[in-house]
Parts: sequence; structure tokens; C-alpha cells
Amino acid sequence: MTDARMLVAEAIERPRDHVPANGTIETVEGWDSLGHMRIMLALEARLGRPMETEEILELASVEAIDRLLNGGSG
Amino acid sequence: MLLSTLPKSGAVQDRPNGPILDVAQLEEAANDRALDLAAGGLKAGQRLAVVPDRPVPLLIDLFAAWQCGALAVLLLPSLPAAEIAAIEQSVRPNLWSLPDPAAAPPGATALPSPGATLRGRRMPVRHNVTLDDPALVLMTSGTTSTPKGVTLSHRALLARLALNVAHIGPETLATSLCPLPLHFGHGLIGNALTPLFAGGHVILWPDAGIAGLSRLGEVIDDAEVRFMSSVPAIWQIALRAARPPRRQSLQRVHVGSAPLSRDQWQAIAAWAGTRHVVNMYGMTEAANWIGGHDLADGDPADGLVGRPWGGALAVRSPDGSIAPVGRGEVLVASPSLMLGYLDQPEMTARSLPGGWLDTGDVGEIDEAGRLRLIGRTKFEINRAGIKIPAEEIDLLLQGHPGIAEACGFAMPDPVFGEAVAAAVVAEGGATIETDGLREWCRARIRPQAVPSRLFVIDRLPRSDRGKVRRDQVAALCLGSLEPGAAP
Repeated sequence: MTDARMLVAEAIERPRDHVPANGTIETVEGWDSLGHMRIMLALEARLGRPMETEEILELASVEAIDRLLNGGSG
Repeated sequence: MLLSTLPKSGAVQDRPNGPILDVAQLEEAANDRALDLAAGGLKAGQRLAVVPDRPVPLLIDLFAAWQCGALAVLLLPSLPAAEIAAIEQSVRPNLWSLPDPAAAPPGATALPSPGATLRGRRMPVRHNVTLDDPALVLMTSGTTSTPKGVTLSHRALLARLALNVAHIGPETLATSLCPLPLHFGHGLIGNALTPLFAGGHVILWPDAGIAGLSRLGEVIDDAEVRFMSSVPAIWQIALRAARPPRRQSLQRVHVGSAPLSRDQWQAIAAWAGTRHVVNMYGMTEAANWIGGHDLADGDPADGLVGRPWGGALAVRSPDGSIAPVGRGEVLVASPSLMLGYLDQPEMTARSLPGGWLDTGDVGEIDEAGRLRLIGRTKFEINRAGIKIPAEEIDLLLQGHPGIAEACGFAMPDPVFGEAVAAAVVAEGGATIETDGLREWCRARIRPQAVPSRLFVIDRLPRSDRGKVRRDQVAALCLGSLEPGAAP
């Protein structure tokens, strides 16, 4: 199981505690557009496939990323 | 001075579909603000530190400072308190303008950033400034190391704007989109003041974010944008997240502040629907743009930045000879060169030898006068267009009580182009927790300069003469990463 909080935290170069489970691109400091692209690249590396344009826009919360990675199991 | 030269047809708009301020209103707002600044104690020849929140208030502060005959020092937003305090010590502003005056250093005089309300007041006394008076300071490094505040005169700014308009054309600049912040030269001089100087309408959109950039094609279509300039990192997002514009309004696209790969150059042209995609070469010390190579003028090549827009380029060989053609350290002569680094005469003299600007870049100039950049002599990390001196990272980390020595270097990054990395050696065998060390850095330096990656090593490689070999430190650390590992 992949820790979505950790994936986001590593991509935006912050400790895991900086990224709450309900964090979003609008609420997590440092999760800006460039940080978002790093998150997408990390997801592509984890999933072994390119992200679709819609996914790049939709995966803007820890919960959405967790759902993609783990089916929302947290 | 600049404000009085702007054609009345010009206007700034805060975000797509946001409020518009034409040049007459901008002048009114600047006059109004100048009264506030004067009441706050700002006098001719003094320094106003501007910490921007939104781009339009930044422009109002800038023009108002000039109405007062003062020097505007533009600072990064979101500076940690430690850097704000260091700027107070090193730059010694006479007045601060911040979104929240409570964030000003203790004891400093501060005003809140200007609002959008026009009160119709006029500055009763305008201070006459000369063309060679200092107008603007752009900070190109933080204050952990020796601060580098590039000081530009009114003459340098006017020369650069006139050259930009001459090379781009006022028709192309009639409607521009600026997706960059205005606290550095590319956003302020290249993207905002240049269209205004041409009498154009400029949409300021530094906070587009991922959602905004995904609508870039629509925004260009809706506003019939003809010109835009940005950095490769923004195109990384737009090319993946946005559909191309459909109305073929874009006439010219500039890309600068960081290396543009040949593949990305072609991809931008295909997306934008124009071959006029120009790889720009610029330095803050030359008031931003020095020259550029237009894809429409020939095949793209990595590092190809073309001919100068006014002035001259030359290369200096290892034997010290200077030639207009060949390979060596790149020198620039331009009417837009800086006066110098603020309060740093020795650093200024080193950077402006014999009237040339020593760029710190290595390049090759062909017989046609076109420059291709191939390397750097200075130790600088270019993170998505933001330049960070490696020495600044050394000094920052060496200030940590658990670190004996440190060495910053550039690390390849798929989004930023380069990221900040550093090797640290623990003091007396102490244990270093890298996440904690990064947070320690974050409290002391601007966010862009916080190391993305820290490597704890036993000792720094040195030359026979005891000098740290930064290239070997980087090779040692980056070589320790597993193949394909995320930086």
C-alpha cells in the first residue's frame, strides 16, 4: 500500500506531518503548480503509466490520490 | 519618469476577466500612493522596500516610489522573518510596503500595500530625477551570503524597454499575457513594463496555478492574446494540461530564465500555433533580456539564444583576450546594464570589467553573431528560472550547529530543470536528520532556496590546495542515487 500523504510530502519536499489526510492543492502550503507536476511524475513512476490530462486536474487532493493508489483505504 | 512615457492606450488587468486599470488610472493611483509614501517619510534618494502581494499594487508602489524620487527595492513574497530582518540590516530601507505591515522588521516604518481605490489626490511636488539615478533594485540572491541587489537606472530601464519594443513590435505587444510574478526582471520588465511601454494591454496572472494553466488555451482565445513570455517549467504544465488555443491569435512566445530543450521548443510552437517561439537570453544585470533566437529564423538547438537586442556580445578566452566570435566566457555590452550591485562596489567592479558585463556563462558565438550557451563558470542553481548561488547554500547550512561543513550544488530535476541539493558533513559525528534540517532551512531562507535533497557524507572532496571541489561533491552525491530514483 502506498502512503498518499508521504508521496505528496516527498514531491513537495515537506515532512509527512505537513500534509494532512484531507489536504488539497489549495490548503497545503507548497503544493503549487510546480509541486503538483512533481506529484504527477511520482504517480506516473509508481503506476508505470502516464497520467491523463483529466487526472492531472482531478488529483488535487490527498484523498483523490489515495483513491487512485489504494482504492481509498487510507 | 517611466510613467510619463507610457502611451495612454496601455492598461493592466489583474487576472483574466479581472479589473482593468488603464494608464491614466495607474498614474492617478501612483500619485495617490506617492502622497502616502511621502507622508510615511519617504524622501527623494531614499529606499522603499516592496514586498508584493498582487502585481497591480506592486506596479503602483513602483511608480509611486519614482514619483517620490526614491529607489524601489523589490523583494520576494513569502520571505521568512529571518530574511526580512537580514534585508533590513543589509539594504536599510527607509520605508517598507507589505500586505501586512506587522510582518515588517521590528522598528521599521511600514505601510500596507496600496489598495485599488482611486481617491483623486495628486502629488503636489514631483521630484525631478535624472536618467542615471537609481530606479530599481532586484534582489538576485538572499541575504545569507553577501546580498546581490541589482541596481538599475531609469536610463537602463528605458533603454531596455525601447529595445524590446523595437524587436518585438508594438502590434504584437497590443495584448499580452504575463503568467509570471513581477518581483524579478523577466516578469516585471519583459512581461509587464514592455507591453505597457508599447501602449498594450497586459493581463497579469502570476497565480494561474494548475487549474488556471489547464485553461491557458481558452484564456488566450478569449482575450485574443498576441504575446506571452514565461519559463520552461510553466510550459511543462501547460503542454500536458491545456488544450491549444484555437483562434490563432498568438503571434509570438518567449521562453526564458532557464534552459529550453530543443524538443520543448518544438512542442511549444506546435501548441501555440506559431513558429515565432523565441528562446530568450537574459540577466537581471542587463535589465532582463539580452537577446533571443526565434524558431522561425532557423532550426532550434540546445542553448541557442541568438543575437543581442542592442549592444554586443563577446567571449573571453582563458588567456584573457576578448573576441566577437569563438568560444569562452560570455561578455555583454548593453545600454541597459546595471549601475551595479547595491552597496557592493567591489562585487560590481568584478562583474563589470572594462564596461562589459561578465555573465558567468560559457558560450560560443558563430560567424553570424549567434550565441549558443554551453555551460557556466559561476556556481548557480537555476530552479525553474529562479537563480540561487550555491555559495549561499553553503553558508546557510554551515550556520547550523550540527554541521561542520556544507556544499550546495545543482541537481537535475524533471520539473524545475535544476533543484537545490547539498552535501553536509556532521560536526563531531553528530546525527543529522535531513527532514528536520530542511525545516530548519525553511525558517531561514526563501522557499525556493531550501534544498530539495540533502546528502550526509563523511568529508567534502577537495583539491590539492584544499579548495572544495563542488563538481566532485555533486558527482559523489548524485552517483549514490539509485538509477531512476526520484531526486
